[in-house]
Amino acid sequence: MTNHRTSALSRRGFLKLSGAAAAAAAGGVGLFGPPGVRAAQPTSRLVSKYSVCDMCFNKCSLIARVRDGVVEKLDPNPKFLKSRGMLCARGNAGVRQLYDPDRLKHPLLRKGARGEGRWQRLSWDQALDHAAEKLQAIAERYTRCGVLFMAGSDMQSTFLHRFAKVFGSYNALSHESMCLIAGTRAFLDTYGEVPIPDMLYTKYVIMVGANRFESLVTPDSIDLMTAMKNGCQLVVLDPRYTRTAALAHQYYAIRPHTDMAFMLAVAHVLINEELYDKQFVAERCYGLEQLAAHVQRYSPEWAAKETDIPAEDIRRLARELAAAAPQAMVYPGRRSSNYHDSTQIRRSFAIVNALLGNWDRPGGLTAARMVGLKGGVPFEEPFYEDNPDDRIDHGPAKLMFEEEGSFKIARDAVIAGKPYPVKGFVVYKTNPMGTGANRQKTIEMFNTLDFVLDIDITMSDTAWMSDLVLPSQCYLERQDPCSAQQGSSACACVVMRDPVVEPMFQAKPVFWIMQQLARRLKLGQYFDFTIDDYRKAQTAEVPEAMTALRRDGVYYNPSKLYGVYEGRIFKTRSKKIELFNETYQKMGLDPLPVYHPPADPGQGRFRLVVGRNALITQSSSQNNSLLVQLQPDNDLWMHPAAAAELGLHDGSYVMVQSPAGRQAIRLRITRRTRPDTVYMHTGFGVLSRGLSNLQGKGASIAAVLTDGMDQLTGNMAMHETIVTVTKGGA
Amino acid sequence: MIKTTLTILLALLVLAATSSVVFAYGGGNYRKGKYLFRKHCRVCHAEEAKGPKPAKSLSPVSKTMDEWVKAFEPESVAKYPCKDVWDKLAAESKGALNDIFTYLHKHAKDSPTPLKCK
Repeated sequence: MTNHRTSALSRRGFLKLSGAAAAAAAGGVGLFGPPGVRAAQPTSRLVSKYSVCDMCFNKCSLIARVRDGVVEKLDPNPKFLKSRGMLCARGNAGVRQLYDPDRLKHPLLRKGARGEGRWQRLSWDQALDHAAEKLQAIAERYTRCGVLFMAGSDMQSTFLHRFAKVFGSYNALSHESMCLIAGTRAFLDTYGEVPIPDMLYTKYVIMVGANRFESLVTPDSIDLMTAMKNGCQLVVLDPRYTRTAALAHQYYAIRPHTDMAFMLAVAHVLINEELYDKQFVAERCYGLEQLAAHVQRYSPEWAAKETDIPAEDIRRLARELAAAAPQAMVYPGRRSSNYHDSTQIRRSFAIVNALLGNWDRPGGLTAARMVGLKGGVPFEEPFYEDNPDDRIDHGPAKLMFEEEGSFKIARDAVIAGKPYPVKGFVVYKTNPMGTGANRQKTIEMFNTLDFVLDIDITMSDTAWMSDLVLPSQCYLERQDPCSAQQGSSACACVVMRDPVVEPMFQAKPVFWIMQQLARRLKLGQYFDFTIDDYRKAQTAEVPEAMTALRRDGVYYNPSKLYGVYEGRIFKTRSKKIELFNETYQKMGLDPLPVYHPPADPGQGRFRLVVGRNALITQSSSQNNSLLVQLQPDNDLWMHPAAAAELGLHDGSYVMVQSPAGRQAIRLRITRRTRPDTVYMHTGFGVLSRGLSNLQGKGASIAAVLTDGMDQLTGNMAMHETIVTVTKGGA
Repeated sequence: MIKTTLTILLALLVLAATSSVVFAYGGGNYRKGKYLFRKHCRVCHAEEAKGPKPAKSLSPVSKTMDEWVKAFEPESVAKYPCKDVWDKLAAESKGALNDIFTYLHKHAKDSPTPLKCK
């Protein structure tokens, strides 16, 4: 492999730097922090406080080492089994999020043109009064559904959704339609719930389109490594030679968008060679007969032509998988925002797992364990008679999740003003401007809105394009509700956050912001509680949890892990695992996954795939002053043969262009991608001038990706983008 | 002409008679149904219910789609201790029961949207 670039900053050096962050912070904090936070000379003892990392979605328990009100270092909580007592590079770098000079410090009102960067500082009262007036005006003119809400993965996102409900808008989105909902849909519609892989005890894993040793998921990433030490075989299928692929026992550079062909061929072998778990399938699965007939046309010989994986290898992989079953799996994966048929692709993953009989067994797919948390302080959702009948994104995706919505469909609807006008947008801790495919459309959406309110820690691209920006608190400053976590054999557990330091600047938690807005809109009764009240309601059935959380930073529910479904039915129409889905059939959808060949990029064109590594959390971590030293920008990966044909040179700047837009980017010539596929990391090429470390760095995936969607769920389809790459563009 | 008219009238009469027998809920406003269900039904059908006739806790996932259809059939409703509440709801609002049915059926145990997936 060529161009395997390494940074000059070693792991030891990085840890030293992250540990020394406090020194930098203590020295530098005076530039932007409140008086009294300086701590150049330690004057008191080091205090250890539990918190929960927020540098990605994994929520790892940690211990903050605090002296004189300054966080000196973040350490892993050895009692937190979901991360196996570890904290990753991003977790270590969390200190720099707290002491980031780029943090939003007070409310800002846009004064110039959208995106011009002219702001007026407001007091909190002024900002909240303004926001309440705008929301009320939109509600009166366009109904309450005229305001769209969107929240990212966060322990306080529930309060934004609560506010949306009591305000009266059912147009609330999570970030998940740009992440994993097609996979969730597929497994829910096969198993009746979304399983959790039991990586630690598995013996054979086929991982398709997932990069678990770079795109970290706890405990999967760590447990897979341990399982491999114990003899587990890992097979990776990916158009890109990731670090996960590098550590795998077998790797195949599968042709993009042919994962389903591979899975159907594996099912073909398992059924035709009678390698599936006959007893399990007979007792617990529905539709084997239909599946058997369906997969006859999908032989390994047929699949070889689609996938570029030799037929004999497909047969061998299927046999090896079956031989290791039930301690074997097709890894369900996480992000599924790839193709227009991602739900059906993931259904094929689910079906192969079902044939292995690995459900509810060690080393297979396990059911969600009981954690014991309740839903917090209950409330009766009001109903507003004048509201329209349905969500703005209702309709185009037949199996869209109501609770998550679809950003892609909602954005199109806002731009079109149909089925009804939406003129307000309230965003918390997610960055659709930076991550939503087809950025130009997101800009167009913002330009049709009367009022965009963004609540975040730093000036993300979404904040930059907003009308009002409110500074939220860093996780180390916050008191948050309890949060349930599932980790298969690692845990069913609860974590929570209490502040480890006083909040800096004028930052406020979104709970407080929603409470204040609710009071101004005469909805105060729905937020008439404290976080302590909320936690008490959450832990009503596990009162011992709070003691454990304060003592250990984590509460474990010793609930059953395997055999949960003994004597229990599946929550599906047939009460069994649905290989064949009758509900789909009744809805006019394919009851079994039907393969459609992908579009050929064409001569001189490439399929663009995107992803990240262990230093990147979508678009939120790149500006971190420690992480930026290890990942200063992104580049475009291209195979040497393709580069030679185009006369392109390593390190030169190229223009990558799709129907959605174009970006200039440095070229990396590497054999780590297929000749027909180019690759970019997410999160660079920002619009915002409020992110000091990212100015002029790299290119934006959002600006180039076209915005297709999974037809069933509205999940963004990010891997259907075909691009040209030409010389120049620096 | 008279024969044709009579045939149409007869057909309409048959259709009307059949319609009164065939029980067909659905297509209501499930969002309103959710609100009405919480307001009128959950007061009794909840754990620690505070309503006048505390009963088994109910939510959409308590039954399958078919079971909800059966639960709303007149023969079933006639046996409920809370039939008076049903009658009152039907009298007060034309589509109230249909809205409630639509909500429960849409989020039934075996429906495509039975639970929040996280």
